[in-house]
Amino acid sequence: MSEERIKELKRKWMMLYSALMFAVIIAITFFTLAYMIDKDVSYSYAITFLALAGVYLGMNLARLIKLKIPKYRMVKVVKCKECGYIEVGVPKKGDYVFKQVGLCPRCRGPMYIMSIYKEKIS
Amino acid sequence: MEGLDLLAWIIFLMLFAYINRELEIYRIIKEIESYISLYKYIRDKAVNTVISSFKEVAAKIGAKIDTRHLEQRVSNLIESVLIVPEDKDPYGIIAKLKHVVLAQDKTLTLEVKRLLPKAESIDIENLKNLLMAAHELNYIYKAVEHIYKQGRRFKSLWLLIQLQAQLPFLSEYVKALESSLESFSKGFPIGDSAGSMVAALFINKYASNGIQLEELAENTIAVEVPFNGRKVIVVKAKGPSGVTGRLDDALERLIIRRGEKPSVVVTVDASIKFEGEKSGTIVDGVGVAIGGLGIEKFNIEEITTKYGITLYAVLIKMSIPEAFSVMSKEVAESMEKALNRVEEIILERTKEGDTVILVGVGNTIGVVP
Repeated sequence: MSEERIKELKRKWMMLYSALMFAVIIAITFFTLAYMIDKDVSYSYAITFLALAGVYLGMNLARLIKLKIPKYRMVKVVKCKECGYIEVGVPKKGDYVFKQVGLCPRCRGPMYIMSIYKEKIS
Repeated sequence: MEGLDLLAWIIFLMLFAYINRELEIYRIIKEIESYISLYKYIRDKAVNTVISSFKEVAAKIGAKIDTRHLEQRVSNLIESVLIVPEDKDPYGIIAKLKHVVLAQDKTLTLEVKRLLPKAESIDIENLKNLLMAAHELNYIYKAVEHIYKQGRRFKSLWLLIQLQAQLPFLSEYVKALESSLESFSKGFPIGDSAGSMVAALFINKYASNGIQLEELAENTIAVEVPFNGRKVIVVKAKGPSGVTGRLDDALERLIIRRGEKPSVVVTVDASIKFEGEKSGTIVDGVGVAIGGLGIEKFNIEEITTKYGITLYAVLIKMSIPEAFSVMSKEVAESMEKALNRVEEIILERTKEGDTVILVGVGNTIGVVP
């Protein structure tokens, strides 16, 4: 749905979550070092809280990374009615199925659009 | 001291439960808001596509069009409503519904013609389809926003939860309508054109003496084709504009007025697949394969029941977005299989000398004849 909008939202949230994730990692490192030096239990509470926040952020980040926006290409199949010669191209506005589009380069027979479809590309 | 500790714990737990609930409501609200903003974006995109398509057609026919007037007319058209007939007494409801739907279609045609008097019928039909898609998107956006605002106004968590639960299904439909904008503005076949395409393939394969078209009803054609000693009358909407035709009127004319005595009527149509099914799967059955409001389905069933004609159906499975967007490769590749299934049904269930009516159901955009 509305690929350009989803792409825009994905970029925005990826940046935000990445920045927050980075901040959380820095904070956890800081509190871990502080705990190792001072042996103060209150630091461990902060580490627990930050770790939970990190898991939440990580899950959302993973969900965004997994979100794939499919890309498509338009295809038209043109076929000669006489010899069966096939050409594949890109349809243009006004093309329709069974429209005659020129002559066959092999036998000079009439060429018809046999199919117009969209194909998913990776 | 112990009593105070206990009290502090109870307060903490209550606070925790309250914050948890508030956070949950906040999360639901944010999710609904993001959907609403997406729906609004798509609605606006649809309106812009309609306006630019009108301008393109105007440029093609060399007509001048006042942009402000056009925007005003388009805005009025997408806000217009169809009031369905009263159904407290359902007797004759189908005829009334058909009357209202045809009146809406006629009005839309007149409105488009008023803006572009010299436009070709193909362009008029495609513009009408675009307008209908924009109309539907506008309605969904407004309805969702209405429920959301009511939920917030009455602070009703349950209303918001119900709306949130519906959003994935609504989004599928919105996605489908958004995809249809491209096909209707360019005139390419959509997934729903599958039924019409199979009928067109049958005509092109077996009409050996050239295609003799007969317009039986508005935007609906019939072609008589010989097939293995049988007379097959292929009925479909007239392409390549985006119309679905009046298939029930065409069948009425063939069977009642002209006195054709078909032994079977075969309908071919696109059908919504289950999640686990593959797109382009072909299934067949008994009955009339036609979607929509049920007007044509009812009328065809009435005629065939009266004359004792057996009904067969061939369905081409696809998802809702596939049905509205440019035909997918999987569906396009299944056309031959659907045609083979139609041929098998005619050969296996009728005998030489029989008359068969083959109906290609669906929007025939981008497919001729």
